[in-house]
Amino acid sequence: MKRVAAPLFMKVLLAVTVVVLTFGAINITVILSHIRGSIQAELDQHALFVARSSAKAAEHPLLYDDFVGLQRIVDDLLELDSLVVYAFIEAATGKILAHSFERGVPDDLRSTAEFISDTTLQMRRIIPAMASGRSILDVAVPIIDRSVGVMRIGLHEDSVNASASILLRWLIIMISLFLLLGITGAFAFAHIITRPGKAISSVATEIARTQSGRYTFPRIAVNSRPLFLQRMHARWPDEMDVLIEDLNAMIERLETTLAQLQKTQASLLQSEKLASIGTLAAGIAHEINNPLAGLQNCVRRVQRFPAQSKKNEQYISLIAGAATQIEHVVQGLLSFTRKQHFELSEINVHSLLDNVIQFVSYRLRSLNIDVHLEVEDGLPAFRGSRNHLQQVVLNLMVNGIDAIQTRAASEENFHGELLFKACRSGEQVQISMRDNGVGIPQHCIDQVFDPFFTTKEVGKGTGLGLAVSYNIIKEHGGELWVESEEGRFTVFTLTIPFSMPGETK
Amino acid sequence: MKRPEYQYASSRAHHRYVITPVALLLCFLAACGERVDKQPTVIVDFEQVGSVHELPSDSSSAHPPLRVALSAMLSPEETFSHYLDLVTYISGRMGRKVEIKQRRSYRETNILLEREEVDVAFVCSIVYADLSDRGVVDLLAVPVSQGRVHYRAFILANRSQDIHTVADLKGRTFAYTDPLSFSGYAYMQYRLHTLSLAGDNFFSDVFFSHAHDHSIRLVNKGIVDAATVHSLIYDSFSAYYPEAVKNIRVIERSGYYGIPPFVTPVGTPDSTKALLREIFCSMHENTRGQAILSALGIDRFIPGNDAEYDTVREINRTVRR
Ligand SMILES: Nc1ncnc2c1ncn2[C@@H]1O[C@H](COP(=O)(O)OP(=O)(O)OP(=O)(O)O)[C@@H](O)[C@H]1O
Ligand SMILES: [Mg+2]
Repeated sequence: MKRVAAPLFMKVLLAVTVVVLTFGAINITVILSHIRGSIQAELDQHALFVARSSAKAAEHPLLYDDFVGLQRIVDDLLELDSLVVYAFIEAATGKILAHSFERGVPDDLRSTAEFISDTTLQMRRIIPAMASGRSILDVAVPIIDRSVGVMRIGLHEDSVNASASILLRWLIIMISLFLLLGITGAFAFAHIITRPGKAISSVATEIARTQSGRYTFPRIAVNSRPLFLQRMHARWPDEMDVLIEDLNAMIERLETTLAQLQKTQASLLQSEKLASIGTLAAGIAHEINNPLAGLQNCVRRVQRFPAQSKKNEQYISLIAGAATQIEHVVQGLLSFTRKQHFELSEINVHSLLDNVIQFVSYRLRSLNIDVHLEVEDGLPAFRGSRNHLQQVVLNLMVNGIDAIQTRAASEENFHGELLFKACRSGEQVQISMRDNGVGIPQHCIDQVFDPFFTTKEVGKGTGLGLAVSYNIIKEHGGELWVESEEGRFTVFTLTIPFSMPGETK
Repeated sequence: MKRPEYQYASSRAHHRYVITPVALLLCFLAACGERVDKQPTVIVDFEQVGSVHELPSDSSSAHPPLRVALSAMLSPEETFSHYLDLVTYISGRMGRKVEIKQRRSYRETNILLEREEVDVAFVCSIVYADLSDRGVVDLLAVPVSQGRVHYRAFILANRSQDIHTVADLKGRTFAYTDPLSFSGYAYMQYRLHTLSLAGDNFFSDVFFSHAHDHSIRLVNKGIVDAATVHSLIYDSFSAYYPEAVKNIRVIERSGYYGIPPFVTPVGTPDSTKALLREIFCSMHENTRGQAILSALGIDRFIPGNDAEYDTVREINRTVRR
């Protein structure tokens, strides 16, 4: 995966090089021209001084026609100042009074003497015609007055260029050094910067490639840095360190979350099984108990009055009916356990509720609980799985009876009541069951539909009733919710559409 | 992998940020790099020698330059600048070029006159007295200064010294101007003679400054204790440069003697003499000449009278003896 087209290092290097070269160029140009200018100015100044002082010294000898004295001045000049190339003194008439040349004053020098004005001295740059000629600064200064004489001297100008080129060499060395330092710095910098980045990206890539089922991930290594840098970073962490730390924490959280998810999935699978078992057991208990009780009742009557053959015949047929009912239930349960599937049929709300009340009539009676039914007139039948919905209503009733029983145990003269209401709500049928039991504490109300949430003692409640019921209603495309006030009442309400969207299941 | 569009946009923007400073920088460097050469450059062939000659004087033999010798009353550059205008004026009136000749000592100037190497000379009174006696020169023109044709010798001493009379000068250092100067030498010798102080050991040390202004400077600075100078030069110094005479006390002022004149060698043609005299003596009549004269502290020039220099001759004889 080569996605990096211009590495960070190259960019830093380019920036450093540009900066160093730019500043180098500025420095060279500015400093050099400045220095050259000041050296030049110094040379000019020097030339001026030398010329003026010799011109001054030449005044008397010139006025006295003292040629020996003038020649001495010229000779002294060349002897004392190594920069002086030549010197000569010219009278206003053009007569050479003294000079330092071996053969004579060059014609070009004599004919080129031009003053800006009588007193202003003249300065020119002279380039000797011969090949090896070094540049000369030529200065002409009047002696007293131009009409008397002129002092001419030439000074080597090379000293300016020599000093300037030495300086230039130093500047170039320095700039190269800076460049080298800059490039090294860029290397180091880019390395330090990109290393954690690389580590991060490689780890990220690896995590992305990890197949599901593996929940341990590599961590981003911080110790890929040199030791002293590690120490430094430990003390003064930068953004990268913080980023790595955060990313590592994120990876860790990812790991634990994934593990938890797996565990939850597993336990959910388990609880689904448990739920089916619980439902089954409850179903068995509830559905078998009644016919069994009737059966036992008939058996007892038959035993007590064996002679009443006519009555007994009736009882026996009742027993047969009960047995058939049990058989039917067992058959249904068997099929339920084999494969949970909805067998949709038209369900009449009244008959659904009556059936369930029948199941628990024994407990209702023994606890002296009044049951009221308020079913809206003309409420149409709806489609659903009878068995499953009976199981739901049964669960709700058992919970309600439990709550009333608990309350009755601690409250005297308490009269338990169960109120069923069924009505049409738009395209749905809405059924609610209200009990005046202990109610649900506020802090528990969000958990009642959770699997295995129970407040009942071990062996009595599995905490699956509501969870399973919730699922069943959801499967019907409906809703199930609860309202409760602790110590007063609890209302469970369910809605089911009259016709389910994906009907055949 | 496709990059998002905004990255291209931002990189374009970056280019602009980079290009602008770089362009500015280049302009700056170009401006700096252009070296400004103040001096013009000339190519000189140092091997080519000898074909340029002295400027030929435009009136070579027909009108040779008028040679004027100036005795160093002042230091040579001062003398030169003082008398340049005068000499230029005369040159203009004569229609001849002028050559100024100066010599370190009066004796050298005398030699120029004796050998007739000059046409006009400005000499000391005593030089004139001597040379006219010997028939070398004729009087040409005499300057009238402060209304008279006389001047004096001033004997100066440094104020810090306890010198108030000529007698106090004993054992001091003393500066003369020139052995052939009247006010700068002969008068002092004469005074010592009259006071019977003449002798080799009267002064502890003696110098010759070759110019009156040098003598004044030496005394003012205390390098020599005393000196004798030309009164008119001292007066103009104290008038124009009071600082230059601040430390000087004039201990004696001489009587009046004939002022230094302009002379010509006796061999000079009479017509030239007459023309020169006429030019000198009419200078004050035109503004240009008037201006030059007043700059020199001269009222005008007059033909002069040889008898004015008799007292100088007397002293010269006394001193020579
Ligand atoms: N009508 C109610 N009144 C008060 N509390 C209730 C009522 N219905 C449910 N609960 C609370 O909700 C919990 C969960 O009910 P759920 O039916 O899911 O499990 P259970 O009744 O405890 O066990 P089982 O699996 O046997 O039904 C109960 O333990 C109870 O605390
Ligand atoms: Mg329950």
